[in-house]
Amino acid sequence: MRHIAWRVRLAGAAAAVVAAVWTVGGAPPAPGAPAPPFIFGLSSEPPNLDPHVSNGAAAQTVKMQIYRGLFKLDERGRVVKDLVASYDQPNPTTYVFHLRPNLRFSDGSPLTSADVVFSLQRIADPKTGAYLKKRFGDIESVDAVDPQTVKVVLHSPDAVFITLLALPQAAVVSKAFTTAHNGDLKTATMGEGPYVLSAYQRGVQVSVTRNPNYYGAPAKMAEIRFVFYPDDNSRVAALQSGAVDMIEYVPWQDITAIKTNPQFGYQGTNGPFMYLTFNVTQPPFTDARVRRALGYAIDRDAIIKTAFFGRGGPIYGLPIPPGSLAYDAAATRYYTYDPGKAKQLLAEAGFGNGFTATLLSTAQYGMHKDTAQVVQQNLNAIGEHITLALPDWPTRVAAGNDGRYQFSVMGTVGDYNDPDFLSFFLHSGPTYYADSAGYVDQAMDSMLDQARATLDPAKRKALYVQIEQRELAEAPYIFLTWREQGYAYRKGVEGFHLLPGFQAFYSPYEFETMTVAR
Amino acid sequence: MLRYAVRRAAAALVLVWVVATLVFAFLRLLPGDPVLVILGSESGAQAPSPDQITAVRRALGLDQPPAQQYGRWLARLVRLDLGTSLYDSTSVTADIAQRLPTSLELIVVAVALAVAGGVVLGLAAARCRGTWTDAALSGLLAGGLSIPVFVTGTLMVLVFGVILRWVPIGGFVPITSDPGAFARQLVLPAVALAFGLLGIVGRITRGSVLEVLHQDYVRTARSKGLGEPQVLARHVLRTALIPIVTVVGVQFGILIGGTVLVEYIFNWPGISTLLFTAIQRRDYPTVQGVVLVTSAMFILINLAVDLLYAVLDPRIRYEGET
Repeated sequence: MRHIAWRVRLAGAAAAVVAAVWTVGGAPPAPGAPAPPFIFGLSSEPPNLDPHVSNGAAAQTVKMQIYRGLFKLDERGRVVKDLVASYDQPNPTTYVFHLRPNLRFSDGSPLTSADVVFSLQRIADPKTGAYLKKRFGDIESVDAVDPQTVKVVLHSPDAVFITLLALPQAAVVSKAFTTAHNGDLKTATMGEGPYVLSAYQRGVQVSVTRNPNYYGAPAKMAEIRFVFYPDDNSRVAALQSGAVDMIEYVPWQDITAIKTNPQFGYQGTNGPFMYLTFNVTQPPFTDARVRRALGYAIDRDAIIKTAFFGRGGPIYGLPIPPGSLAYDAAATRYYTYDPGKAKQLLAEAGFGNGFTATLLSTAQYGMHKDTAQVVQQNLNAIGEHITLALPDWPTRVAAGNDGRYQFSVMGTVGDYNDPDFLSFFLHSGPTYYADSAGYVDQAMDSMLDQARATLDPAKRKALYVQIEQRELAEAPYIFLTWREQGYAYRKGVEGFHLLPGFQAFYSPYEFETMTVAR
Repeated sequence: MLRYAVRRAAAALVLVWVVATLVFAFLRLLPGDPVLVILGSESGAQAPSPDQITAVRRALGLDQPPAQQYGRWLARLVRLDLGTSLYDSTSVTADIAQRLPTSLELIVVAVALAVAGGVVLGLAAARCRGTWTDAALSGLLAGGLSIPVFVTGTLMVLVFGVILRWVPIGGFVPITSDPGAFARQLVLPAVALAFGLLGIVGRITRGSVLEVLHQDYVRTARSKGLGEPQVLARHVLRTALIPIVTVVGVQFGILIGGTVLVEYIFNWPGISTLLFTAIQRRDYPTVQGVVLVTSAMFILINLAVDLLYAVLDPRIRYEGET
């Protein structure tokens, strides 16, 4: 019996230790302790923190606190000067940027034109894998005129060049710091933004603290801690339980409950959108009438209800956000949900008895899968024979890039509200999973090039009207629905401004002016 | 005994190499190109240029023929270097060294809870066989076995985290930085994970004990006047323990790298999450490293269980000697 008694005592001791530790750990913070950090529930862990590489909105949210560029977006989404104090455009292809005086990186070293030149060159280097590389191919030369002045010469005029410089992927990095880290900024992080990276607990959280060397007004909150909550339910539960102050990517099923709860604030916008891409080199989608038939055959409201719990909006034409230069109400209401008309178009194209096709989507993202299922149902209901292919995301990307599909469901967001974003879809180029495979239209290409090179807004608008008409007639894409993108926060959080339309993902630019009352 | 152990260890080593090779091969057979995932996020409107794809592929060493990549990887492996992640150029060994203990902390506590609870409940159910107590306990154990962890986990988050607010809903604090917070964070995921295991351990215990209870030597023990606790502890449980040890060993192995749902729900930064995201991104070195280490541990645990049998049951030991 003796050894049993010994075990009981041991268990008792262990329980006592646990209880003691519990009580100590649960004690309230001592008075006079620094203010607790602002806690933000991030939807995923950043794959890395290289500012020039695009790796998801969650990563960008963190990078935008640490890095800044020549321009940025203000709280209403307008392009405004950031590191630049002023700039001249002596001719349509030349920009001269004058930096603000006494700019410094967070390590105290001066930020000069050499760093700006280095950053633009780093983006242009294919090894970097920079998001804006292809667009910056327009740049003919970048030179440091003096330590405060940078001169950029373009091959041809570009109406959105300054807008591009306001994107977070155009951040300015330190030449000395980057060189010291062999060009690798994936984990080595040092910028000039309102915050500096202060702690990174892999798989758990990343913290940023106020940058004392920031040129602007010091960030209002001393520390922001980004905690990773990849699971939708956990992220919402974290907000509801008070574990976090704010979350991004509010799941659609929870938006209504959060909006109506007085304990929380919510801001959402129709930013990203869903659409269909086609392999236009393979029947039946070689025929524009078949593609147009799909514009009439798919019930957008059913997609919004099924995939987005009613949080979104139908697109029966082109995804041009209201307020955009090229917004044309008629172009957004081009199609209607009209299965009869769809059947008629298909009959004209010689598919009166229906066609057989496989729709590529992915099981990895619920919204892609649910959208695909509605498309399948709608088409099968009018006599087509659609099967779904739902591999994981990398497989789906590879199939798209190889053009190994007939038609596919995609979702994305424009980089900026300027209608030039249409060129990502409509301009010919290498086969890319977000684009319709094999779609090449030289007339369209030259219209898009011309619209980009035209600086006069009225002339540009006229050109985009033509581009829109041609897209609707040829239907290389069928756009389906907007989906709502929202942030939720607890009462007491003030000063958050959701940027409109596509720019919703750039809202974290303004975190520096947010406050929280506890 | 020593020869038996050495032979088993050598076989385990060969098995690890086979696993390593299979992982390497299967990953390359899997469709999907890490370079494309690196260059475009899930909403990548802008296509990367072809020269970028080539340059990034070369920078990551993915332009070399698979045989050469395999050779290089094995050569590094011998030096215990698992390579660097394609995403953040951190060492895979360091990543695993950070994530594995986190997973083990969760698994050890969950297994301990499940074994303690499962053995007691299983024993009780067996002792009260055919009564209402047995039915209730068996029902509970069947529930543990059949309710998926994402249901129990999410329910626990809702009840104890959001409504009652007794414990944090998820997250992780290293035990070294704040043991109290660590313990509080651990409660929900450990209990959720233990609940499923409890069903397995409890049912095995019940069945195993029932079998042993009717053995002659148990009757002998009783008839020579031993008290019931001693009969159960010394004669029944010791024999009944063998299937339990087997099951716990196998389950422990499965849990290493198999707790992805619990980690996901409770934000526990374990090795399963590392593996899961690495597969989604086709981060070859990380997937290879994690699968290799977890399967090595699985093999090691099986080895330990085999050796433990030999300790528990002399017959196995002697067979091994012949």
